Amino acid sequence: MSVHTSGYVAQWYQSGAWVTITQYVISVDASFATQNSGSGLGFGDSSSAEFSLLVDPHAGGGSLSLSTLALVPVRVQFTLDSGTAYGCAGVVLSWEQTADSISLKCTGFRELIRTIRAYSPLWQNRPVATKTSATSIEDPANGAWAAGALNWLLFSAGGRPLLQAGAGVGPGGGYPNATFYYDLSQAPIAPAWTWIAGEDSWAEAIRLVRAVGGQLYQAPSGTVIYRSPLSVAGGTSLFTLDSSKYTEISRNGSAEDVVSSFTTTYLPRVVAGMQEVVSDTTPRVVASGASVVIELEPQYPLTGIETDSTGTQLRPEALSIVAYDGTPVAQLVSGGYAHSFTLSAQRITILIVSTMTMPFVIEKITIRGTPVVPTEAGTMTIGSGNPTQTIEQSAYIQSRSHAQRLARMALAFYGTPRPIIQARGCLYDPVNHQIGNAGTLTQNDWGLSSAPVVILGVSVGDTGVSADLDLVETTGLPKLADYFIIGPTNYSSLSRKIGY
Amino acid sequence: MLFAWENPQTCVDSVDQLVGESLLDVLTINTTILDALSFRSPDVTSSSAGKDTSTPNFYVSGASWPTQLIWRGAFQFQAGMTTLTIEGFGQKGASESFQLFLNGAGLTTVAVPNGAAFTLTGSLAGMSAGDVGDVTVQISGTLTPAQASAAKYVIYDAYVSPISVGAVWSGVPTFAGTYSAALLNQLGNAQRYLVARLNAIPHLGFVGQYYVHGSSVTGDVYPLWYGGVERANGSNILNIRIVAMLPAAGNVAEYYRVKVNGTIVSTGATMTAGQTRDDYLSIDLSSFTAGVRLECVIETVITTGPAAGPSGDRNSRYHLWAVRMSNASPATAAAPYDFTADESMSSSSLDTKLNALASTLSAAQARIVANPRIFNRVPLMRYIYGRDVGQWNTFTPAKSSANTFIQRIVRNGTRLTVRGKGLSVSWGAYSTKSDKTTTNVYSVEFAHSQALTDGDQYQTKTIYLDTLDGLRRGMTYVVGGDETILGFESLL
Repeated sequence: MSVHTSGYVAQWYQSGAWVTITQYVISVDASFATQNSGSGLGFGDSSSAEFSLLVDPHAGGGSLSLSTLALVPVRVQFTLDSGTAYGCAGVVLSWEQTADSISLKCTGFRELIRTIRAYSPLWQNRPVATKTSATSIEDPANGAWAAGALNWLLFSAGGRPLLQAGAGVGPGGGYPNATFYYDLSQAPIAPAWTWIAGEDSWAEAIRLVRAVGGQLYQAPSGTVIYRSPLSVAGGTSLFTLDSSKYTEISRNGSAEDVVSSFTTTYLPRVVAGMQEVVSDTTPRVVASGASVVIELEPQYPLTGIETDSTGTQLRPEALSIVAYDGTPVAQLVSGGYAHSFTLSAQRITILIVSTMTMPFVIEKITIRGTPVVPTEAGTMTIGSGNPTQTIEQSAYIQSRSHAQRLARMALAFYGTPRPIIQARGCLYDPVNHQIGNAGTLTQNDWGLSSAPVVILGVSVGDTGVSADLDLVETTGLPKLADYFIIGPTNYSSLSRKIGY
Repeated sequence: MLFAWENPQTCVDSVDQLVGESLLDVLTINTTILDALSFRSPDVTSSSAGKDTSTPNFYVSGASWPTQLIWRGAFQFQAGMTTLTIEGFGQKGASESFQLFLNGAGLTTVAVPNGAAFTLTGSLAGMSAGDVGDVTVQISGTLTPAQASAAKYVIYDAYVSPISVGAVWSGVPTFAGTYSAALLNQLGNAQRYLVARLNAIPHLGFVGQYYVHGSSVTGDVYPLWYGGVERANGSNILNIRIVAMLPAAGNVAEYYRVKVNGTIVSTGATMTAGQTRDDYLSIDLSSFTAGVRLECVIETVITTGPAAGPSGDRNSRYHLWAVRMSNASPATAAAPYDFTADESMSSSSLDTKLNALASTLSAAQARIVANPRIFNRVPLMRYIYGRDVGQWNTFTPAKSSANTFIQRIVRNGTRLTVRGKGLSVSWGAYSTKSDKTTTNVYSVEFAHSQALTDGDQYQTKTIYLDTLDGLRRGMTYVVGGDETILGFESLL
């Protein structure tokens, strides 16, 4: 009988640094899984990332401050023998205190991302996600930035590329103290137009991913991951499972998993001519010497707006500003007003500064621009026969060819039902039991011998000693190595598939 | 559905970017489009129309006409353009001169030759990108009636040059088992260069004529259209769409004919009173010299007038909807392979398909280089016919409820640029108003119409044609209004 040693270190983030709170922690339980994965491979599936810490506030003679717990980052590092890795990471969502303990209910970093109101520029023919690396340019402020909408969103939410976490690594000089990290594959499809304009940025991120295939989730380690569908299979095997390594195993399927054809709708968009895109008649009083920031949201994303010849100023007729006696107030003079603006795809932010000694009123704002407007919607189907599934309608599916490729990809992944396998009571391996990691499964009664599987979910119990794993077999799934890849590889005399 | 050019994705090495259908679809569709567009025919230049509008041998005379407008057109200036050029033929009536104006400023004055070709040029210095140049050519010098009848001024060509695009031709790649970003981006860059070259040359409409009148006088030879055509880039066919209508009490015998460089190249069937013809002419000009402008005239010959004698109501009527050059069988490349995601393919097969795209693009570039008279100059749009404001008001839709002359465009591109007052774009089925106006002009209405510019000021506007419901590529539409200064399509 093998003897193993395990341990954990719990920390939370306060005053700009990670503070160890292991001495207060009584127990840790965690559950990380991809959701809505009837077949285990749902495109764009969000991850459930929930964990809780039971804390003794009096342990070790110390104390915990409960005053600012909401959304405080928390992480727990587990050790099994010589292997150490973060197995829980996220933020405090709620807490409950009894006479003896405090239970911290935590969730993944998506809660941070969800609360961000993000308004991006408009991108054309840009992959939704571009592959992150130690050298990829991720900071949108960098003039050479050419990454995807997902990169932009996660960076804007405080995330930084995992492969540039080390100090001095990458074009941004490294990000050792990022709020969270992300690791993205190259998305297989580039929509005609992409942009972010939403209240719930995580939901927007999921919509982006569902439009191009793949999965977005948070790994137990805390890294937010976009995994291309072609990266699901074919990974290096990091663990083996057989009857000696779990106490119980089961698998389940459903009639809903059987699909013969996919139907997709698409909504093409075109750049319309210069036209009025904002007409705001809300009167706004600006006191003498004061300034006001006005955020305006056009109905459709914009490729540009009408400005004067400098490109930095709105045309004078765009702003109707008058003194209290109705006299027009002039632009760019002392005794008038100055302004500046920033343009996102679907938001125009205007800063107006008074240079008058009297208040004035902004009576009307009329802005002309070139919107990208939807046109005639269409529907197409790939596959034949029933059951048919309809791929969720998305503003990012904008052409018949995009819809066709997405449906074909869905059929390749969902055409064969793949039951979810649940292995209970495994010895938790914090390094290798991560969502998305590949391994092999042997289950003689099912005829599986070293069958390739990937982890869909990890539930950690006994404060990091045991784990229940959700798995799916990946035999036959399309994988990157099946396709021609852009790069220096010489494929002479070889055959590969054309990608999406 | 017809496809439009799309900017190809930028490829990046070693980031797991697939040689995928999304990339290849764009490259193949673009190649097909660019190949086809490189067979562009030379533009036709409209010079003048019927004898009411100051056309050869029918100019006005007398002291009240010390100057006489013979041609007007416009262009939009782009960076790099330097020179305005007007070419044509002049037969002086007396000792008159050509005067060339740009936006009201005189550029040059040249004596009208005595039956010879002429060229007027002027500098475009001082213009900025986006400015519209309004060009007029007038005759200075009074003519007697006999001199006005003897004079002939025909504009064969009107253009600005050269064109300048930011992109540079960097050749095409050869694929041999490796699909690197450098090779694929080179293919994309070749497409960007070609589309920039092609996009620099606007697609102009034709000044369509609706219900223009002929004559009802026996023996009259009545001009309908004068202009310049040219054989180049494999385009040897002169196409004309002409609709003839003889009233029930009209001419007993009449026909139309087409002359090129003075030679009759097509003669329509003889029509009699009450007849209507709708003809699409395809006239082979292969026997004429290529690479030079050829004078073209369309005219009607009244063999026998109406039984009841000549009368304005008995004049024949014509629609002249198109005069253009075409290539009867352009040697376009075979349709590129249509890639499908998940299909398996050997690298040699993929090489063959990608190299075919490269070859097609290379050939397209060669055609552009070989035809600078098409691809290195921007033709001017002809203003509607007429010698003065009075005539323009008569022949302009909003001024007289008529639209005798109106810009008629077959949609090729993505973007329409217009300048004028009270402009609208119209398309679809047309109908004619039953009531005839006091000026003997008819009004044509279209099933769909959308206003483009205000009626009280001159505006320059850009309209993305995909936003006009139902106006698909290949369909015909018209641009008209109070005054159309300029109207042209761009590919992008």
